[in-house]
This record gives sequence, structure tokens and C-alpha cells, in this order.
Amino acid sequence: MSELILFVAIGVIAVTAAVMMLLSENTVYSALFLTLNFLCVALLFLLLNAPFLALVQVAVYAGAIMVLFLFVIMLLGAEKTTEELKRFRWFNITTLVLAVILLLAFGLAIGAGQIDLQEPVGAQPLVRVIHAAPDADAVDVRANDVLVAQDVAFGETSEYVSLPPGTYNIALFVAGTDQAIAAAPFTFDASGPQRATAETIVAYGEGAAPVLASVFEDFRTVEDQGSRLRVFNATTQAVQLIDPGVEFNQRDAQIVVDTVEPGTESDPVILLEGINELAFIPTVGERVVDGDVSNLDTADTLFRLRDYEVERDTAQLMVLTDERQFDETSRVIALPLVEDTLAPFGSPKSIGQLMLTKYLLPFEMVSLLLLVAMVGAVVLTQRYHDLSKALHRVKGPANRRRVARPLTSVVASQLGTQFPPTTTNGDAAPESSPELQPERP
Amino acid sequence: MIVQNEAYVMLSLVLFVLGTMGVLLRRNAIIVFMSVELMLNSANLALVAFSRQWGTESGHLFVFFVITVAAAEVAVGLALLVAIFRTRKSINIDELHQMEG
Repeated sequence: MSELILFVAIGVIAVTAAVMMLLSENTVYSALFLTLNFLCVALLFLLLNAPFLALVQVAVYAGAIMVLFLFVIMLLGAEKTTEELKRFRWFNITTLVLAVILLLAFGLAIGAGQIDLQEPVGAQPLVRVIHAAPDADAVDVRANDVLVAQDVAFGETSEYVSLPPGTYNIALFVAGTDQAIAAAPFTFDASGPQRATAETIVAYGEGAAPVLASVFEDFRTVEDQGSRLRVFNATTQAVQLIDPGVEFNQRDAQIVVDTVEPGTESDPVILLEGINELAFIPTVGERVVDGDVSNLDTADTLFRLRDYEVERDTAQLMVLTDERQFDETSRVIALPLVEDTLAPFGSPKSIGQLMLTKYLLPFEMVSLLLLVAMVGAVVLTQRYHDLSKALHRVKGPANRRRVARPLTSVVASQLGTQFPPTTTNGDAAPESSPELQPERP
Repeated sequence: MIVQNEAYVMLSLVLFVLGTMGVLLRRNAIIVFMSVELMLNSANLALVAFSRQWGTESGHLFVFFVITVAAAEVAVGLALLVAIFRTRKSINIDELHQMEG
């Protein structure tokens, strides 16, 4: 409701300022009313989730451009509009009628809801595969028999591929062969207009034929200053993620992610920015229940992340899996996959990212245009009293060095006598050749 | 969003028409210039509104470019006005018709 009140108030002020700008007799008042209008539009930008543009609007439009206007008005002394001599009497009426027609035509079209018919298109879903099956060979990944990733070994992750929305049969083949070891159908939906979501296919399980599971990844902005963490448990036992505190001091240990069953994923939790101590422990035996960590034992730790650095504005998926060692025993490792989240809508960061990637060429062109305009403004305001004189100065015979005194007086001073008698009180220097002298005014 | 995009586009339309009328009705070249700025600005408002509707930031980028182009245009335009005022001692656009041939 407050948005409506703000919109109406600001809109009324903006329109009033525009009308007053048109009606003011004094040009300075017009400029000031236009500034007010620009400030109102900046507020509307804020209402429309465009804080960066609102700032640019205030700085560039209401600041720089309007100061330039006021400066020129002052420079020209054009505050009072000259008596408006109208060449065409019928012009005002015609303009008013045309303006009303324009307003009605567009207004009716907008009022009839013609601009909302189309739905925004979503971005294509992003899909990748992580190999977390310790006993399986390196794999090639095919989606509906189209190769999307090659030679993904254990612990590796394929690059994101962008697929049209739909259902795909994701199949894993032993790398370089046609021997399928796992296949499962998955349905990928289009995400929002921005790439806010992705899917990660986890291949896990014991034996040579892994099981496939799909994990949803969320790249929307993290509100807190931290990282959104999900844990996928690809081991054979239920685990918990705890913050062990200072050297497993039992008093300040706490649970970060509660029990994750094998083959499932946890709900997202937010890890705060900075250095974190994390440890995965088995849930068996109920070592940690409801924050009671009195039975916590260092020896139980499956995998410990010491001094784990968490960056803000990231989303991470931690895949916990077994790893075979040379002596046929296995241990648990965590494979963290960290991705940047989307910058907030309309923020300088996200606009900068877009400007320097997708819109780099327009950005360069506009920069060039600004440079040309700067040079053009300087050239245009050069004061040429006489164009021919200016041209003469550039490429005429005057490129010779100007002599401050006539040659004759130089000769005279050398000789110590008047030779021939001349006047030397002219401030403008005559040309060095005496034949030109009679032509000068 | 409580306020529909139509409202923003309507407001932008009203400002645009006001700018058009300023260009057509006023004879003072500086005010004509300011009216052009008003029209550009109203177009910016519509772009930002559409940008919110579609959930992409391309509209914001376009507004950014429009603001840049407007700054360049004002720099050159006002320089022209100053030059014209020096020679003609007037910025009434009815008197500036030496380009008619």
C-alpha cells in the first residue's frame, strides 16, 4: 500500500514539475523544475528496484546535465525568454490536439492491458554431473544420446551444460566406450529469467554401476553475509555436520546440518563468511543429540574441514563420499562445489557484470561517443572571430615566425640610424616583408 | 508489486507527451533542449518498468546507455547553442533558419 501512496505522490509531483517547466517564463525556473522532475524519476527508479540507476540519475542528470544547462543559461544571459514571435498562429492548437491524440492512443493501448500479454521467458536449465562413485571408472555423460561431458573421473565435476527444458535420459558410459553403466530419466524445468537455479547429477554408490540422483542448486542471492550450503550424503551411513568448536571442546560444539541419510540431500543452511571449523560425524550411537555433545569424540570424526574459508555470496554443494585407499580400506572425503550466487537485482555488481560481458561492445561505443562529444564541444565553443583568419592562421604563410619589429627598424638599430624613417608605435606586428605593409589597415 | 507496470508506463507516457509539447510549443532553444531531456527521461522510466516486469537487467543497461548518450548530446548541443548565440545574438528557434537555403 505504501508503494501505491509513494507512486501517486511522486507521480503527481513529477507531472506538475514537467508542466511548470513548460509554462515558466523564466528559463532558470524551467531548469529547476526539470531538476525536480529528474529527482522524482530517481525516486521512481528506487521503487522499481533500480538503486544504481537512481544514483546515476541523481549524479548525472540532476547533477551534471542540469548544472550544464544552468551554466549556459547564465552564460548567455537568457533567463528571460524573448518575446515569442509566433510564425504560425494555428501551430499551438494543432500541437495540443496532436498531443491529446497521442496520449489517448497510447493510453488506451496500455489501459487495455496490451503490454502484459507475454510471459517472460525463462533461462535454460543448467546441468552438470559429479562423479562420486568410488568403484566406478571414469565416465562419459550423454543426455538423450548427446555427449555432454567426457572423461569425468572419480571426484571430478563436469562443466555446466545448458539444455532446453524437458525430460532427458542421462546415461553414464565408461569413458571412450559404448558400455553404459548407469542411466536414469530426469526432468529439468526452466529457471527464472535469470540463471537462478541449476541441477547437479550425483553419481554415487558402491560397485561398478553407480546410482544417479539429482540435486537442486539455488543461486539466488544470499541475504545474510555468507554462503548457502547443502550436503549430499553419498556414503553408506547417516552423517551430521557439526561445528566442533575449539579443538572439540564439548561445550561450544554445535550442529550445523542435522542427520543426512545416505543418498539424500540436506536442507540448505547458511554458513557465515570467514574461517569455519567443520567436521562430519556419524549419526550412529546418537553422539550428538539436540546440542548435547557430551559424548563427542574426536576419533569418531569422518572428515574434518580445518580452517575452511567461506566466501560470501556463494552457494556450495558438499558431496560426502567414500574413497578407496591402496590398502583396500576406505575413508570418507567431502567434495565441496562452490559457485557464486547471483548479485542482487539492479545492484552495481550485477549491472557491471552484465555491462562487461554481454554488453561490452555497446559500452565501448558509448564511451567512444562520449569522447567524441567532449572533443566536439571543445571545438564548437572555440571563438573564431573570422573563419578565414582562423584558416589563414592554420595553413597560411603566417606559419613563418612572426617578427616583432619591422625588418627595417632592426636594420636601423644595427646601423644606429633611422633607415628609412618609420613609425614603430603599432602594437600589431607587421609582416616581415615590407611590401605587405601598405595593405594593412 | 502493488503498483502495476501499466501505471509506470502511463506516467512515462504523460511525461513523454509533455516533453513533445515542450519541443513543439516553446520557441526558446534551451527549453526545447530541456524538453528533449524530459522525453529521454520518460523513456528511461518505461525501460526500467519493463525491466522489472521481465526480471532481467538489460533494461537497466539501456537506461545507462541512454543517460550517457544524453550527456554527450547535451554537451554538443549546448556548445552549438553558445556558438549560435554568439553570432545571432538570439536563441529563438524561429529566427534560426539560415539552413533553409
